[in-house]
Amino acid sequence: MQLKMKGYLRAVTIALISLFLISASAGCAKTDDKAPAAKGEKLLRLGAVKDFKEAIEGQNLVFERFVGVDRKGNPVPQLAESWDVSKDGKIYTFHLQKGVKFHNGTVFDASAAKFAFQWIANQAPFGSYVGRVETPDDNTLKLYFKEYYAPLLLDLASGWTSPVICPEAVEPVGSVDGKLTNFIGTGPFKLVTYEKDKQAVLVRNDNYWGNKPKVEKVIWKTIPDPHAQIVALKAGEVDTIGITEHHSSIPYVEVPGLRKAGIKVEATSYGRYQVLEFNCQKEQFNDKRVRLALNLAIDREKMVKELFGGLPEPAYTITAPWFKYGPSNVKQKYGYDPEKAKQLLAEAGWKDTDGDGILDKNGKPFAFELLIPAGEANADAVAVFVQSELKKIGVQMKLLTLESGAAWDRSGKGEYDMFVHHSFCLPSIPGGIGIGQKYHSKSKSWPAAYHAQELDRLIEKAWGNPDESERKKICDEIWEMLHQEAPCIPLYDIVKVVAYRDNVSGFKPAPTMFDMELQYIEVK
Amino acid sequence: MRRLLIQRLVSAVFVMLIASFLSFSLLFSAPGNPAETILRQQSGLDPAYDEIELFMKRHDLSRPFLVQCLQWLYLLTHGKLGVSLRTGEPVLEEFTARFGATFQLAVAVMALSVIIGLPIGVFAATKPNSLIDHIIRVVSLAGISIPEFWLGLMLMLCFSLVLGWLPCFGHGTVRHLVLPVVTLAVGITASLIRFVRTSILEVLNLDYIKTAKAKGLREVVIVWKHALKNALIPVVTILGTQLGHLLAGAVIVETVFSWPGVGKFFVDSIYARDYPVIQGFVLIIAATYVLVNLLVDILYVYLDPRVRYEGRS
Repeated sequence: MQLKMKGYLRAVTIALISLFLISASAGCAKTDDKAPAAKGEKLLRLGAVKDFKEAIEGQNLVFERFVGVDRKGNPVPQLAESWDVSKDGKIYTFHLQKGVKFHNGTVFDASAAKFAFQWIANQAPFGSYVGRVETPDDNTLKLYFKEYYAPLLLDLASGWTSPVICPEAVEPVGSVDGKLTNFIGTGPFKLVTYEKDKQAVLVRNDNYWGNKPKVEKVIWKTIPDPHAQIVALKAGEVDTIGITEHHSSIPYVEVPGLRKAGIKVEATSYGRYQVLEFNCQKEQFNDKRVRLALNLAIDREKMVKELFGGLPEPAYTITAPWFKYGPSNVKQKYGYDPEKAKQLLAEAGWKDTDGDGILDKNGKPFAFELLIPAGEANADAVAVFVQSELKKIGVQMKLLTLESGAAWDRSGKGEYDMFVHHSFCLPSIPGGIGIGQKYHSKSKSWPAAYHAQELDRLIEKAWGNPDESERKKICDEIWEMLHQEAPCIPLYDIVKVVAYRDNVSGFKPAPTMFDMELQYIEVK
Repeated sequence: MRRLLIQRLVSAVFVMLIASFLSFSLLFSAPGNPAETILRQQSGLDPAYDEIELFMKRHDLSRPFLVQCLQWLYLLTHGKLGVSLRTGEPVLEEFTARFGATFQLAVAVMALSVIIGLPIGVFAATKPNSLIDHIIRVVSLAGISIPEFWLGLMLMLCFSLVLGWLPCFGHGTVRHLVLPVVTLAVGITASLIRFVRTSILEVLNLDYIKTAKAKGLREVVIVWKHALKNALIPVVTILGTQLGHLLAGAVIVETVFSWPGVGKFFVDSIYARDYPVIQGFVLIIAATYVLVNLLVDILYVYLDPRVRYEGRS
């Protein structure tokens, strides 16, 4: 028996050792990807938090969309050169770019566009609104809608729901409910190789119809840890970081250090604000004087300076005023006025009767809990700052951090007092004033956010008819109403931070935080 | 021996099924909806209600708990583990695409730890309470206590940034292997040293060692041949569980060094409530645990001839 056993063991040991050697030598055999680029090859190496195929930013290099969107939210031409909308907003006629080819050589014409649109509609939320799709000629796509759907062009500008894919990109080929298996698009870069969680290699699409990129090759390298990203950037293993993220991956506190190390850092605002959302169904926050008071109690200027070295701008409106339908005309902006805050709270009946430093009303102290979804950037630091600011006016805030899925579950059930999150931005309707969004009472994620019948009526009116000048007026009304009601505490503008080495030039911020404009970038 | 194998394999099937059933039911009852979580992660925006409904419908997520379990079992009997909700790829492919990297890391870490830890542990045991023994004990205590993420970042700063000798992330060459292996091996080696030391010290007090000494055997032979073999049984057990852990993925080191292994993907899937991935991965990881333990049991027989599995039953 023992002899037999020894035989077993030897076999197992030998097997293990040889497996190890094989795996190690297999590793050696692969070409070293740190090897310098072939002479003269213009290579850009991106350090990214996510895997290439899991990030919209990566997909957007390969796939384009029918329309794009500018910084403010105006639709701009992309694969559709122009479009006409019927008066009732139910018929869209897209005039397609001519001379566009997919990466595999397939011509992008009306029939390919029809396939792509139907594939998109099959999984996009607007799919149920779509009626007929026609191709009157080779360069025209005509869409008939059953009902008017206001955010169509914004939805089509989203790389997440609406990439224009090639009929050969799906399995089974040409099926409108096929699964996307091949990354074949019309974009400025072609995907060459992809290794899960590791890297993707893309080369320039030399037949690109638009602005041809200056770099010849892009390598997307997945580096999940932000500190490891910074080391990789400093060590020259990647050329740029942060550009591949829509949520800033570079901690704001690291920015001064990066600049000192000779790294260039650009911060771009996309009008996405970090906000503290009130649960307006809770008794404490059912009073707009209380909500406004808390809004006035926070010194945002000091907050961004002390926590983030002044990198992001403080926010005094619910969303960025410069969006097309943003709160540009509101009279009531928030500021810092602790005296007024105290006065408002007193008016609402909150007084410190027992002298413990905490306000109370009907024998109950003003105490509540801020719910923080784990991973919400900067939320911990911000929460502690807000906590100390509120304490000064006699309000006690406790902090509760939950794993993000669990936290959002509570939000969906309205089981929180206050919730920290980041507001809607393009290509969705900014600020949460769309139908079914945060401030509409049919919102499923936000049943306990501020809702009112009049607000619902205005929201439905704004997005229920295609007259855009009328819409702007109604949106102004909506914003005026919301700012007076103070449904949330906007804190600061979450800027996207991009850092790159001095061999990179020509960086230009993309119109939305989900895109990268790599066309203008040059690498020495 | 054959009996042992059959017993183990049968119990392995149950262990695997129960483990994945438990993990599924725990996650199913935990707050958080896969559709909402995944859509929010991917698009970076609050998903619309229609989007969530559509996603749930497409992935059969609105069915009752037991139906989903049975569905999964049905797939399993056809040799399938389902499709990841997050990536849309088959779960088995997601596993095999990453297991190579995890296996490489695990084997290298175990090899390095044993090569370094075993001799040092034995050496410390032969000189109990000497200065060198104290130094080894303090150093190994420090090694156990250092958190991996900190050590990893420090090594990275030192060897990648300041010295520029090694790449700070990635996978593929032996140079990429060095930092993650060292980071993981420090803790394992340190605990191995302490374990070997105590284990040998215990054995050295036994009668048969005295006999060996009385026979006039050289100390080297006594310690390395007679004592070590006996002392190894608990050590092997510990190494087995550690190897099992490593094969399930070293999440922190994988994250810090961008190592494309199973651990980080698995944890991300838990955050995303990606049920099929969690069930499938737990099933496979449970299987590797059973396998490693079986190997350990087989090693016992070799180390200690008194262990006879036939005799026991």
